[in-house]
Amino acid sequence: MSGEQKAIKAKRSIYFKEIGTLLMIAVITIITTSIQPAFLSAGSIRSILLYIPMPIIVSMGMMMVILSGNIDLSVGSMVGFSAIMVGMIIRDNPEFPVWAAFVLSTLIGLGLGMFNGLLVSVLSIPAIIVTLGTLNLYRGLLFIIGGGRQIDPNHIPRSMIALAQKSPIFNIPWIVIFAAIFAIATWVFMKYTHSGKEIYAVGSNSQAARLRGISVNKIIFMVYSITGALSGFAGMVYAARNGYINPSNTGYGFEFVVISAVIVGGTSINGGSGSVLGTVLGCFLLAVIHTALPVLGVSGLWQQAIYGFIIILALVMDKTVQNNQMKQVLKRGVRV
Amino acid sequence: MMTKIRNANKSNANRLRILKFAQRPELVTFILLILCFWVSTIISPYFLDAGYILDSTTLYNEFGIMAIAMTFIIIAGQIDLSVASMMTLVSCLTAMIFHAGVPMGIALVLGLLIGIGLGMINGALVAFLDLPPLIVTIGTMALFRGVAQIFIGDHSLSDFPSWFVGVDKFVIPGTDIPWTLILFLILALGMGLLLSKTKFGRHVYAIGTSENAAKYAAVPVKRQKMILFALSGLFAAIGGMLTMSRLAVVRYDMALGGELDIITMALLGGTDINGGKGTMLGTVIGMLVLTLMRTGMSVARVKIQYQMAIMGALLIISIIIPNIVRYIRDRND
Repeated sequence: MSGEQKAIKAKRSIYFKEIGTLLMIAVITIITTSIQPAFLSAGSIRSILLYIPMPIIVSMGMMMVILSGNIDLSVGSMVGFSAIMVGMIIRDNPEFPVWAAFVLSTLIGLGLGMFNGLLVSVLSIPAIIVTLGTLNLYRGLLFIIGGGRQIDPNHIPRSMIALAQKSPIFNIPWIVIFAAIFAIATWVFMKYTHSGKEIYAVGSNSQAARLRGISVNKIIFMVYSITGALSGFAGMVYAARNGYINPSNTGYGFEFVVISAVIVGGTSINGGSGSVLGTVLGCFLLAVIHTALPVLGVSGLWQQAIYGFIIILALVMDKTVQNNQMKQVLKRGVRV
Repeated sequence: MMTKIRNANKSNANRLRILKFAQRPELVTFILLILCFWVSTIISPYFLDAGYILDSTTLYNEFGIMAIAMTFIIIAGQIDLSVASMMTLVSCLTAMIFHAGVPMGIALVLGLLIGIGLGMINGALVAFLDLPPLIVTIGTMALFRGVAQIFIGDHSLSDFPSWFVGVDKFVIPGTDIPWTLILFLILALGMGLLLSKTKFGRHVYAIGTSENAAKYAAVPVKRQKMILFALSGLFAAIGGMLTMSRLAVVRYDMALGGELDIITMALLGGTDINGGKGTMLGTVIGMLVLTLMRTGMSVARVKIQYQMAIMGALLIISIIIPNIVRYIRDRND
């Protein structure tokens, strides 16, 4: 098989994965609607639209991290940390502009992400240890700096909460539009820039990437920094959507949501393959499940088990597809 | 002339031996242990009470026992993030089986079997489907705790028989040494011998050093991984039962984030996160360091969230130190 054919085949298999995710969304929607016709309502669509911005924004970064062959468990704590820091500023200065809050939160997240990136790339400590450590470190620090106090709804500016309610464009909430912008920007970045392509290269084979003259450390540092910045932004999205920031709740366990979204969206856990479209569909799938559960009368207690189950299911399905492809290739014989 | 050379050789050999000893990763941990002790006594004079320290080990013996299995898993180049969730699920199910009318003794045996079963789910996914253990156990970490949450909901279960409750209060007569500490040490000794003296243990090191090489050397890699994850499940079940007995109550959120402490214990003891290196002695010292540190912080009234930050930093530092030691050693060579 020539290189070009291989590339086409790889492309086809990625589309195959995205169609799989889409099918799962369709099946869940059909089953839920047949049991409870009320599911297909404006309320559900609104609930889905309000659920997806945070996962989409952060999973764009997580996708890059997983593509590069690493993992980031600390996203939830980064969301919480930047939200609390900016929340404290907003509480003390009611005149603080909303756009500045978003910028500041993104910068704080960027700093946290850079710290992760530094440890993983320059000190070459395994990603799992670094981010398991910072998951707890950042969460602990936010309690120490924030004094463990919640930022109450009356301290969050009205104009910020309005971002999660309406916009001039078809009244789609602003935060959804933000998420769409981030997704498109990531798509452009991954498809048309050198750095974007280099992430795939590092994830497929970091040795080969190094021999090709790609600075592997730089790429890994970059993906962690981007993930941190996006988590920081998501911290303000949380504040806009929920109208409060709580030191122990905000972002807690969020890493499971994001990792399930990325993996169910078809990103290979071995790195090197995955797409923005797949990840966005993964977020939609989680949102549909999240919305369908209460409609079906299933208690919210099931949420966490379902995220775990989805991760395992997606892994097993991905492996089965891979094995089948391998078998087909072997059956046809490898022609070089 | 000859004696001179012999003497030189002898002193050289001695120097080498000392150097080799100084480079053992456990030594760094041991120094840390002494440092912890020293700092804690400065912070609070009450800390220097053997009874208090021994009593406080009962809080961490459970994690220590799980760290024993974790040492095997990390040496084999794997990771198990789901231990704390397995422990919680086993405790919740055991409590539910007991409340369904089964005698406590039988419920405990069933609990141990459930633990092995949960571990084997991880093992099957990792060994036979060839999936990376990191993501698999992130998934089962959410799944197992989630299942516990489904079964038991937001409330707690208690009312265990009186013989079962308070295992941490049993001490060797006439001393302050709790039985759970003895259990931990016996398990550590037994598993340490298994790791260092048997074929099984050599296979663990072989898989961690190079899985492919191990496969070509006819090491049953799949079976070995399966056994290791089942072992982790079993030890999580033992830890869960000790916790259940100590607290006399189970909830779905017990030992939340416990995997951090467990992995830190193993890594503090010099076990290499990349696999292939590590000893049980290191893990035992790592467990003692963690116990002293946590106890010292509690005595000094450090808030639990502050402790969380410190433990997170400690985990990262526990990796940086061996890296620096290795760097210095490589430069000396």
